[in-house]
Amino acid sequence: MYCTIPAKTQCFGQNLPVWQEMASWLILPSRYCIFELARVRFVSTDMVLSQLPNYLRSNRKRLSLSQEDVAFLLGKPATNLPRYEQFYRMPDLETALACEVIFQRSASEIFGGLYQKAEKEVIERARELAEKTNVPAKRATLMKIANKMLN
Amino acid sequence: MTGKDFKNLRVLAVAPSSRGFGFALFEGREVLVLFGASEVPGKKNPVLRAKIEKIISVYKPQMILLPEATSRGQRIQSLSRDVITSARRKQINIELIPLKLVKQSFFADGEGTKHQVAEIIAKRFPEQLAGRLPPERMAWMSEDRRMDIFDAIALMVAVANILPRSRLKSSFPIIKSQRCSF
Repeated sequence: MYCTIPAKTQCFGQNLPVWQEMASWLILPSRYCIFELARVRFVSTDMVLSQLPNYLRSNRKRLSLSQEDVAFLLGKPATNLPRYEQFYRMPDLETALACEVIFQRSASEIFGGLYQKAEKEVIERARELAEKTNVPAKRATLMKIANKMLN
Repeated sequence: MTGKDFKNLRVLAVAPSSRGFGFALFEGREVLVLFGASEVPGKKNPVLRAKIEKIISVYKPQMILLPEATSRGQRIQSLSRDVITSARRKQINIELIPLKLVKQSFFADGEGTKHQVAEIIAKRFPEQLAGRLPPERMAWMSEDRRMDIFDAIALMVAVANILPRSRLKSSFPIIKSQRCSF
């Protein structure tokens, strides 16, 4: 955990509350911050980056393909692709696998956010089921799934 | 903010220019997710503001990097102010990066051209940017619109390069960190 303390400075001529970074020399445990009376903000380094629902646009740009090109390759109308890229719609399984073929990346990479969400939910369910079951072997398998240690 | 913290951040770098703006979206310090440039004719600021807001609402960055606009024109200053206000409303951290610092992070003596910076960046992200490097500008040519993309990426690269160093020195941070989210 790192700590930042506030300092009022001018921000483009506006009187906005501005925080000056002190983290480079001030490393304090969060609960015992000596600047407790000041308004203190903590930046957690343990935080896991929540991925975007999909990385279709970045992969498309990596290959310098237009939306029309990718839509043609997917066999979808050209109007669908902006919706996928701006996360208004999620592609079906067939389209997701076609994306894997086009971009030569795994579907879990291309649909990172979706994969992360599914993973989190499955782990929670596996733990729940492991708690309910009385069969030791089954519980061990479920715990392996929850800890991603299967195989 | 330290270099270590960037590992888990989605950072949007926006570089306003005389034509529009360039942007780059990073996940962590090294992963360039997205980049682009926008050019608007006529009255620019309302359209540019809307475009930046859309990028922010779609990609939900946790931090926005902007170049310090104090020495820039009125319109760019106004646009930067709008971006800061918008980010503040959405509780996103803003870092204003002095352009001098950007140059210092690429060149030891702090002297080099924008094209040289662009070349370094293109070598660092060859897959995405090698084909987008504009030709070197001659005195009679106007700046290529693709240069805005490199300006935006330079902000992030500068922050990623400089921050660990500033931490090692244990001095007051070089970057003027302006958190307008409170």
